[in-house]
Amino acid sequence: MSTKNALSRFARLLVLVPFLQTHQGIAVADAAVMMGISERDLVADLYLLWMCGLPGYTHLELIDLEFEHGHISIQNADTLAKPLSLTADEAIALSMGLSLLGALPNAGLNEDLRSAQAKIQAGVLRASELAQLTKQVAVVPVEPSSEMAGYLGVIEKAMIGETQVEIEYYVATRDEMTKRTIEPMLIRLIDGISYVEAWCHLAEDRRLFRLDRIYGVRPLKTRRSHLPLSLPDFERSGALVDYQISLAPSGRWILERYGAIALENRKGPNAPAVLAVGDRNWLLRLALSAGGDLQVTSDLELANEIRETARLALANYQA
Amino acid sequence: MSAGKTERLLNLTMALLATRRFMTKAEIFDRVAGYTGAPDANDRMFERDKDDLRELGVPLVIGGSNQLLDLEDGYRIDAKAYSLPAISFSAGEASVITLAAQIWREFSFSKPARSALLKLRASGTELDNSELFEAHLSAMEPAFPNVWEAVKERRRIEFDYRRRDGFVSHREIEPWGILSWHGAWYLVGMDLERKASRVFRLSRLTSEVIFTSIPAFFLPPEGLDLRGEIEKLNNSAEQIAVLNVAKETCIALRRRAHASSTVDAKWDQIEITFDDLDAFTKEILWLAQNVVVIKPKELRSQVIDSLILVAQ
Repeated sequence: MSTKNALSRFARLLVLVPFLQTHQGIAVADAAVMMGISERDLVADLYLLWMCGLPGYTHLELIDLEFEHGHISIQNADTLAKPLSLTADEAIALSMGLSLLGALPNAGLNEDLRSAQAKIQAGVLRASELAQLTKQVAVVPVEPSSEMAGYLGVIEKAMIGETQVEIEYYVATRDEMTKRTIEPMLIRLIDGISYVEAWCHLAEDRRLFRLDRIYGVRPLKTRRSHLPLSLPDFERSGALVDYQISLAPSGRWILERYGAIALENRKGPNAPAVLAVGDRNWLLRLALSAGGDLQVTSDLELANEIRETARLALANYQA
Repeated sequence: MSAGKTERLLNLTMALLATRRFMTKAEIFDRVAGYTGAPDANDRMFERDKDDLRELGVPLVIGGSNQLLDLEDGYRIDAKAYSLPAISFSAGEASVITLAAQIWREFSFSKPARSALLKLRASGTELDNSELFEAHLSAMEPAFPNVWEAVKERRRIEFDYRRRDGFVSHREIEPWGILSWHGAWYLVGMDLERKASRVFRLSRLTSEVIFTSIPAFFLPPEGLDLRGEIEKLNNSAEQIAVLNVAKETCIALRRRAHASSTVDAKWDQIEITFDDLDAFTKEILWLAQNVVVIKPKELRSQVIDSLILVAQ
C-alpha cells in the first residue's frame, strides 16, 4: 500500500466513523455498498478502527466496535461524530451538477435546486476558495424553448401518474413527422441534450426521443402497460451493422455521442473507428452534417453516395 | 507500515480535535500512538503528517499553548471548522443533490462528487435516487484533467491547438476557467502571445498540456464572465434565416418557420430564427439537397464550405 493509498484510506475512515454513528446497527453488506467498497475492505477498516482512539488508549479511550454478528455498532467515537466539511472540489462538483440540472424545465425542481445550492455552499470549509472557483467553471446546457418546457411538463405528469401520452415526433433520418403513443419512463439529460426514454407503441420497443424533435404532446388517460426497467444507453435500435469510419480531430465528438469505438491509431491526424449503425440512411446524413469530418471507409458504395448527395446539394447553389 | 500510517493519522486527528489547549510536538510524540521512532524520525514523520492533514482540508491551527509558561508552538484542530455543519435537506433537495452527484462519469469531478455525497450521508442526510430524471455530462477530452488542474492552481500551460480550419499552432495560456457549453468543454484564458482572451475547444488540443509556471502565478480578471466570452465567439444572438425548401420535405423546419411562401413548382421559401450557427448548419446539412440557404451570408457560406469538403 503506497502513501497515497494510506491517505485515501484515512480520508475514508474520517467519513466511515460518523457514518456508522448515524447508521447504528447497519448490516456489514449494506455499509460496504453505501461506502462504495468491498465487504473485505470494510472489515479491514473496522479492525483498524479498533486500534484507534484518544491518548491513553485503554478501553476507556479506544473506539468501541461490535460487528461479529454481521451488524455494526460503534461507541466511544464522539470526537469523530461529524464528517469533515466539504472541500471546495467537492462543493464545486455538486454545485456544477445542480446548475446542469437547471436545464430540466420544471418549476418544482428549480426551487429545490436553488435551496440545495445554498445549503451546499454553507457546508464548505473555505468559502472564499469556493467563491473563486465558482467563477472559474460553468455549465451551460442547451436551453429548452418554452414549447419544449411545456411538453416536458406534460410528460412529467404522465410519468408521475403512470399514464401514456401521444407525441408528434420528427424522425430526422427520414425527414418525416410521426404520431405515436408512448409511455414515458425517464427524462435523461446527456451532454446538454434532453431525451425522453419511453416505451413506444409504434416501434413496440423502448426508444429514446430527443426533446427538441417533439412537436406536440397530448396526455392520454390510458394507464401505462410496461414497467420502467433500467437499460443501458441506447439511441438507435434494430439490427446494427458495423461500419468502419475515419474521423478528423474535430469530429471526435462522434465517438462519444454515438458510441463509436476508436481503433488503433496509425500515423496521421485522422482516427479510424467502428460505428454500429441501424439505418444506412442515418449514417449518410450524419456524414453530411459532419461536414467532411467523417469518412466511411468500409463501404465504398455508401461513400460515393455521400459525395454524390453533397454534389447534388451544391448544385442548388450554382443554379 | 502504511496501515500504521493510516492509524497514526487517525489517532493524531482525534487527539488534536479533542484537546482544548494546543499540544506541543513533545506532547504529541509522548502521548499520541504511532510516534515510536527516534526524535529525528518522529520530527520528519510529523512534518509529513501535517502536510497530509492539510491536503485533505483538515483545519490545523498552530499557536502558543500558553503565552506565559510555554514558548514552544503547539497544535490543535479547529473542531468547529472541521465539522460539516448539520444541514437538513428536504426530500426534494436530497434527490436533486443525489442526481447532481451522479452526473459525473469517469472523470475529474466524479471522485469529489462521490465523497461529498458520502459526507452528507455520514452526517445523517437521507439521500434517495430520483426515478424520473437522470443526467450525465462526459469529459472524455484527454486534455481535461491537466487543464482543470491548471485552472484551479492558477498555473500557466502550453499546448498545440487545431483551429476549426485545420491550422495548428502552439499556444501559451493563463487559464482563467473552463466551461461546458451545450455539451462540449471549452477553456477560456489569456493567450500570452496574442495578449488577449481566447476560447479553446478542449477536443481540439492536439498535444499534451504542459505546466509552464508555478501555482498561483496569476489571477483571473475580476469580472470574469465565461458565458459571455463564449457567447461573443458563437455569435449566438438570434438571427433570421431565409431558406428554400423542396416541396413535401423539411417537415421540422417548416413547423418552426414563422413565414412561408411559394417560389415555384419545386420550392417553397421559409423564414426561421436560429441562435447557434454551428448547430443550425448541422441541421441544414442533415437535409442534404432539399434545402438551400438564401440568407444570412455566414450560414450560406458555412453550409457551402462543408458540402465542398464532403463532396471531395
